Amino acid sequence: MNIDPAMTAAARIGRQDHFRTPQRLTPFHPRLAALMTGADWYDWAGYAAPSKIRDEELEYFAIRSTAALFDISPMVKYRIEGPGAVDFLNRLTLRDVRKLSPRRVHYTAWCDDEGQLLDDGTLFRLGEKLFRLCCQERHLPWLLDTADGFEVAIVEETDEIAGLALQGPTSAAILREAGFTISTMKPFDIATFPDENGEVLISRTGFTGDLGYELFAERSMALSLWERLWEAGRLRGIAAIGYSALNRARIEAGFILANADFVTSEKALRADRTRYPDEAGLDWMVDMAKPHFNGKRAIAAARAKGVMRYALVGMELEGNEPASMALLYHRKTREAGIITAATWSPTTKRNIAIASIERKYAEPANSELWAEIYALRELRYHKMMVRARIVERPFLRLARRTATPPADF
Amino acid sequence: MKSFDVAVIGAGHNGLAAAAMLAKSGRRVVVLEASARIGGLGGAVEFAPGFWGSLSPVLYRLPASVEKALDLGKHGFKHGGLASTVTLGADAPAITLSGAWGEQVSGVSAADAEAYAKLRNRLLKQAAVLGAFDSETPIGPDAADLGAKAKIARVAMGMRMSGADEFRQFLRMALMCVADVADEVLEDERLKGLIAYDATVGIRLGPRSPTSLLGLYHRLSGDSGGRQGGMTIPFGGMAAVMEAFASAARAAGADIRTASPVARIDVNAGTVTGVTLAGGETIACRTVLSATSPLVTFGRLLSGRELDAGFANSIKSLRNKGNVSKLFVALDRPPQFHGERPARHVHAPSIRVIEDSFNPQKYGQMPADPPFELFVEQPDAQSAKQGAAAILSISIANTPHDLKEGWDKGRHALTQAVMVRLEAASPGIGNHVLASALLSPVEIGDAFGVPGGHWHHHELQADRLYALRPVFGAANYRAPVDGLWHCGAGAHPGGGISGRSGLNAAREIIAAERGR
Repeated sequence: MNIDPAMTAAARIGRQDHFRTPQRLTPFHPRLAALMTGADWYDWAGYAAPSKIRDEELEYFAIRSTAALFDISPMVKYRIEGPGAVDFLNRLTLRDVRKLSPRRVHYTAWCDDEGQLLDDGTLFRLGEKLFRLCCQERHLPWLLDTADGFEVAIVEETDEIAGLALQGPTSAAILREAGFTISTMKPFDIATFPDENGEVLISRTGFTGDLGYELFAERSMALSLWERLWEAGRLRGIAAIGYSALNRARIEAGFILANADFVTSEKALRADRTRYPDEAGLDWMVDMAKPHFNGKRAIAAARAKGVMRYALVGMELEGNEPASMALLYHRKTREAGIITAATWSPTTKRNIAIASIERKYAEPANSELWAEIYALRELRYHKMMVRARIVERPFLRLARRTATPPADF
Repeated sequence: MKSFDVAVIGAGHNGLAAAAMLAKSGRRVVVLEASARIGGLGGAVEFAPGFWGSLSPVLYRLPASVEKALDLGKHGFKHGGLASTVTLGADAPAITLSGAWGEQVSGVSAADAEAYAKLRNRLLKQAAVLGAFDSETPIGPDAADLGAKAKIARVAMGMRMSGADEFRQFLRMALMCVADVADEVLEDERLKGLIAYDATVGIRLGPRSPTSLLGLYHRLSGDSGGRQGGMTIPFGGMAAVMEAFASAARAAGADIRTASPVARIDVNAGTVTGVTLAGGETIACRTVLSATSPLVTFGRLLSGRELDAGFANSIKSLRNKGNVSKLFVALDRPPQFHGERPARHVHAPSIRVIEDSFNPQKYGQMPADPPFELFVEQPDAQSAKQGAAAILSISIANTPHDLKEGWDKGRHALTQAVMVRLEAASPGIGNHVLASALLSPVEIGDAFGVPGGHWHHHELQADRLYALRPVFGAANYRAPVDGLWHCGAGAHPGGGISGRSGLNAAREIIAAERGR
């Protein structure tokens, strides 16, 4: 637990000096700032993170054609350790953690008592009794409440652990060049490698739908790790990227983002804005056969009563105008939902989107949907009503993402 | 081995009342009581070797409807006469509220007597509005609770129909503090002290704490001896009342097993499968009704793993620390207090005295002059054999559960503070004490399996009433595990010996299982 009862109140207050640093800097900030041509920073979980380094298009094509280096240090990370870790995580999350082998990762999500999504994230099983949970929002109070009665220690380690995503066709070759023997790693595998200053943890995971890896190390090792990859990638097109490029890749891959594609129940102010997993396309995760978990009864009851109201779908739109936040209408008249993420997909050459719609409009017979797009062109909106078809997610499937050993691009 | 449909955990009045109704409906019922005696907080206590007294000596909310539902009369129950309330102390003349909560008042000025009559009338009417919900199941999270919603609409409409002025008064007063309500119309400090005492005893609020009038509504919403606000001291002590409840349950076919502590409620895949006793015996049944504190039901008997974290945490956060201690005194001759019998003698000489004792208890300190109420009980056969002519059962308010100096130290000072008052009221009484014992809230909690030793299992305040008692989502006696139900003082409508929550829960179980 992060709270040390032995600590005096004065010491506790003294340690809470976070307000003096309204925005924190990641361990890679010096490298990112040096490469950046503008000053296009945004706030990611309290850290300054780059929207773009130089050029969104070039950065996108680094992901799909060479290799992109993206700083994921701001991702919220919890270290969960103890004999009760598996049972605790099974109470917390929707999937059965007993089925997650050591040195493997799975994508999961968790809900409140009402079965409404609190967040999604990746769970790393680092050892028999040691896990790392990575997510978008902070949850320590909820994790501690859920841990009541379990022999488990939970510590937030967001600031202590530096993270880098290396994504793209040449990512495996770069890692090999840098001395990491990752050829036998399958998707969602974890491996650790010694580094001159400690240990680097590598998982074959990512948020791009491409061949890619994520690397974690102590904060103090961050810059040397960066140099090691940068050097190894010099001839393989390594490029630092910002979130705008990553966002296009993740939409192509069909990945959703908490508080973008659904509102988490801790953030939502309006009762009807939260979502059951089934309403965010995560019904496949809900393991009703495993022991009790938070929200299980509520989800089971909602399924039994048929009260799920929304569906999350992939869409393909006519034209080439990205339709972010566009309203969707059924037969151009009845409001049916909203597009939560959209982009022109450079790789598939399609105008794609992720949308949250009322469940009944997800039925094929009932899905004549139209998107109302307002495109601002020199102080005048071009108003378009374009046909939006529900299509399968992901929008893009790349064989190289899963090929083991990975090809030597 | 005998098999059962329902296991009821706890043989307090609610568990027994529910068991009787469930057994009457044809179910095979077993009641499992942890201690060697039935009755729970209503039971008899052997406070010193061979001396017995009632922890709760008085009935103030056991209405005729409950007596009738359980046929308690046939099982040996008889109300005593209406007890009056008398100020304790040497100052003559004492104030006496006789009849049901002072239908007649003596010892105050004519102006105060008239003002009190008006206030009493108004408070009883207001309390009756809330009391109308005692036998109702609170609204649940299910939006389809049409019956409960209709009841609220009906009661609100009825209240409105009684006149715009009274309706406005109710809305104005409901969340006030009792001190302001009393100060508005009364002069006599002792009379105001009596009212403030009834509003705050058993609850962690002082007379000047906002919403403390709600405590008085709770006190006055019930009826006993056929009179709203009435208070009766039962023949044979509270143990006899509990025996009547038990007898009703047995007559309906329920098995009552004492000294059978339940170790856990067994659950498989979100459904109750039975209970396991501390001795290892497993009793399989499809329904379990837990009539103990919600902190025990959900915190100890049920593995937290079977509950959602938010629910488990809200149960854990219930304010369960009681602040009423019990002093028993066995006397070899009856005390010489003012007033007719049966009576309750109250030491709460002013609102100021109560508030002054409320303040230190907030910080875990023992008040110097805590208010208390005293009942003179007839000794049972065993106590009489040891020479007891009277047993004093004294409830002392504002004595903190978490006493900083520790109860080993605090008990002596507290006993002395009360004995000084008794000596003043009945000179020489100290020379006639055969035995005495003080039970702190901690000890009451330990002895009766109610963590915190709270009269109502946990605070009975505005945020924990009706649909919010014990927490929203479980107020309709359903637990978030199929087949598990709960009742008791921790559920609606709170403490006081009425059997209401047990009856309500039994009714819900029967309705839910109909057609199964």
